Amino acid sequence: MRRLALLVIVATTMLLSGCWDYLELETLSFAMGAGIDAGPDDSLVLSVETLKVEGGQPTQMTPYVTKAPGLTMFNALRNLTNLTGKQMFFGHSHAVVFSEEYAKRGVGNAVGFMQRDVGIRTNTWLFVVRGASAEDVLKADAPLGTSVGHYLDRVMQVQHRNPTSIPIQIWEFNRALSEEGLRPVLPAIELVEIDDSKVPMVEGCAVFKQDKLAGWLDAKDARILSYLRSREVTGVIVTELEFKGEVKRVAAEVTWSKVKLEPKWENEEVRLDIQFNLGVDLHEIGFADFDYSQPDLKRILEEGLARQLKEDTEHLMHTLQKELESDVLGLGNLVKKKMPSHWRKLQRDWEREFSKVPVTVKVAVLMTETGTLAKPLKGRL
Amino acid sequence: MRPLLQRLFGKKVRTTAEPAYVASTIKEVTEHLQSSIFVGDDTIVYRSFMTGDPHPRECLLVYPEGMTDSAFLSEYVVKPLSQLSLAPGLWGAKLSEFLSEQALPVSGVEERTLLAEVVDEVLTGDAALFVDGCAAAFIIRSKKLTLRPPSEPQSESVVRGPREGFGESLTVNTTLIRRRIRSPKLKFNFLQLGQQTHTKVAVAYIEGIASPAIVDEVKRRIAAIDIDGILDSGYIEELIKDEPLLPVKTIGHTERPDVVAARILEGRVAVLVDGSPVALTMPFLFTEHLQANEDYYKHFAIGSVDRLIRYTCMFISTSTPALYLALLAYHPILIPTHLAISISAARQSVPFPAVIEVFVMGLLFEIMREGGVRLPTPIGQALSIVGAIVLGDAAVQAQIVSAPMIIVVAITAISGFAVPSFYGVMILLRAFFALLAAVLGLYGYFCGLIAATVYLMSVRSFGVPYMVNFTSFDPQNIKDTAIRVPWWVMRRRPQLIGRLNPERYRKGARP
Repeated sequence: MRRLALLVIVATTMLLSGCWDYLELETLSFAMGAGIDAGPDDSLVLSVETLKVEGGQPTQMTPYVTKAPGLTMFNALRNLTNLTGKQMFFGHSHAVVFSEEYAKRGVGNAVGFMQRDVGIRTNTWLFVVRGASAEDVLKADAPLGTSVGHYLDRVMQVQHRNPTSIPIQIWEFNRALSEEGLRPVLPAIELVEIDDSKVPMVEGCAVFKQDKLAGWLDAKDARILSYLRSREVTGVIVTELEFKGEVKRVAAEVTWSKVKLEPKWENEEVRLDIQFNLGVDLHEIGFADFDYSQPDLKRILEEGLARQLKEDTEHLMHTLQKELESDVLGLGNLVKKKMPSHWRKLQRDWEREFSKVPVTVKVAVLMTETGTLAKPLKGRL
Repeated sequence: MRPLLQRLFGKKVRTTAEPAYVASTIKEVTEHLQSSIFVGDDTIVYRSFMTGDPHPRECLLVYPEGMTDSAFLSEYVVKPLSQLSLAPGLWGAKLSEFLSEQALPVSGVEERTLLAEVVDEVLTGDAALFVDGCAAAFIIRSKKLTLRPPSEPQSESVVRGPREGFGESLTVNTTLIRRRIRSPKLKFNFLQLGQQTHTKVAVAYIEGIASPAIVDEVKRRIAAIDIDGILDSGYIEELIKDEPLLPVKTIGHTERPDVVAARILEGRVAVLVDGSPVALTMPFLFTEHLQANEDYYKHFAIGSVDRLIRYTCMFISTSTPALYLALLAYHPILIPTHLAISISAARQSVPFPAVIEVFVMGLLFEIMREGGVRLPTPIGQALSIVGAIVLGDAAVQAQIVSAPMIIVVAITAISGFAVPSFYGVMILLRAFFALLAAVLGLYGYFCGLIAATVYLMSVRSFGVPYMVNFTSFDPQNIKDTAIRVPWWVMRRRPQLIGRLNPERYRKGARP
């Protein structure tokens, strides 16, 4: 009897659980990316980029876009299934693009659905397109790639090498939505025409207030914002240096970095200290006789790079505080964590408080490497 | 009620007849043999002759035709005896003493009085000599068997290593081992099995290394066998193995004397069976599936790489169909995007679901293998052409199966052949995993894997845990598992098996 009971327990636990559900691969339609446009009367239009697959050698995969209207995203998704006769499979989808108009209405519902649905990966990248519809983005040409969704994924993967925006995935966006004193941002896409083809270019950021689009940041500001949010400086710093009456460009790549954002309470107000410490690797220098192996010249170089970063940061702070008046830095969040008692007073009107916060930027650059040349190449113009 | 049941199922009491002795007159002996024991058997030769004058006495030589060296018998038995003159008063014990010590110029002479023993000897190929007036038979060792010469076993060929393999004769096989281990500690204990076949079985081990408990257990199990015939060591394997109902191999088998010698040196026990070129070795541990004699003949690093490849192959061969099925049918999210799409494209016009495909293709391959195993090589090649072209290429062209499926079947089959001793179990395990994966996805596959592992952990081979090398990180136990450490590091014999004499050699053997 005990054995039988044991057998029943084991059998039921084995057989009544398991992976859901058996499906045949060829009955799925692989979505590579999705776009959401605003429709009439608060409805939306869902466009999905899938691959038309033809067997053969080698397998032909041509991207095509189908779209269906719906009252909500899930509704539109089911409408799309009726249209294609195949189940939309989002397991390999990497990008969801919102149109500007839809983002202004609020993306909360759609993003919440994407977090909840089992079929959609929460590490899908989110974007907002500026000046075009989401459908146009999906229909645009993907350079060196099979699909726009895949192309956008690759662009996001290499963003840290040269940040022009801040890559955000579904889960990060949802977390930012629920944080206090931190405004969510999403990368912005613009359609750029290159040699007769339209390419979706990721540049700048869309700034949100709650789940609604509130403004834009350009690529230069977005880059500094990405440094401040990720607490890490990456990519290449380019600056202009004056030496012996000449002005030439210098480029250096960041090898290591440390970014500190420190809110302080002084004179009954919040101050913000931003401190950059970074090591760079000299890559390009325009001068033929600028001997950077000399300590004083090296210091000039480092100070030039530091000045550039400081200026850019101050420019970003100006944009955020004076133009957008939105705390996408997450300063409020830091204040809340560091000085909760003050936060209680400030939180009511934080955005206005934020625009008045005095900011000090300090940058220290250390040039540690100069590539394979210890001295500049002479005799070059 | 009880007597009836007892009559039906009770143990039968075997009635043992009075042992018959050899009669003292030739007439009686002939009567006994010719018209009672060997009646109807025409292969037995009865050669009767007389000893020399002046008092001729009748002699009878009995031997099986073809198994005995008849030239030897006529030269060294018939010829000297027919010239010998026996004194008239020489009878009984004195006569037999005289004959075996003086009259017969041959090395192998034994005296037997029990008729049954005589019959036994005659049937193994020796000659029996009867002399009138002597109630005994002289067994003259004159076997001459035609044997297959020891050749390289086809089932276990090596690139580097001895080419010798066991033959069908037990005597030759024991010498093949003896030649490798010239130690008086090497013991061969003979047993006879089979009510009809009277097959000779040898239990070989090294005294002082092999655990007496294991040796006794082997002998006890063999002695308990009661069967009419033993035609191959496979009979014995099945009758004495642990876990008789499941196909896990708990007794090793090999056709190579070098392998047997190596295992005996580790403290294992070998069983050789007359008439079978396959020797059994026990206890057998799971790791031995993945060991090959060549690992020890090559450089240890290369041997270790081969081992690791075999481990990988075992995993691939048991799990690929199951993983393919689970990923395809339950977790397409885990397949890299482009692979998923190209598999989807390949399956676009295949009419069968992936489950059917996996099982049918798996079955088809096993059919081809089974069909080809016993075919002579020329026909075997035709079979492989049919298999490769018709089933592989044409089936894909006709879109009956998808190309990825063919790859799965091929990789499964090829890796299976890398671990030949595990092959049979592998087929069952593969089907078991695939079935679970088809029903429950990856979850099912892992359940199956866990169940198989738990089961294997519970198995013992002659008291030694089957998976002993996998359950601990004891450096002694894992020196000879996934890798093969150099000989100078492998100073100790496997634990539990060679515990009686754990050290192979003293320290400092490193060159």
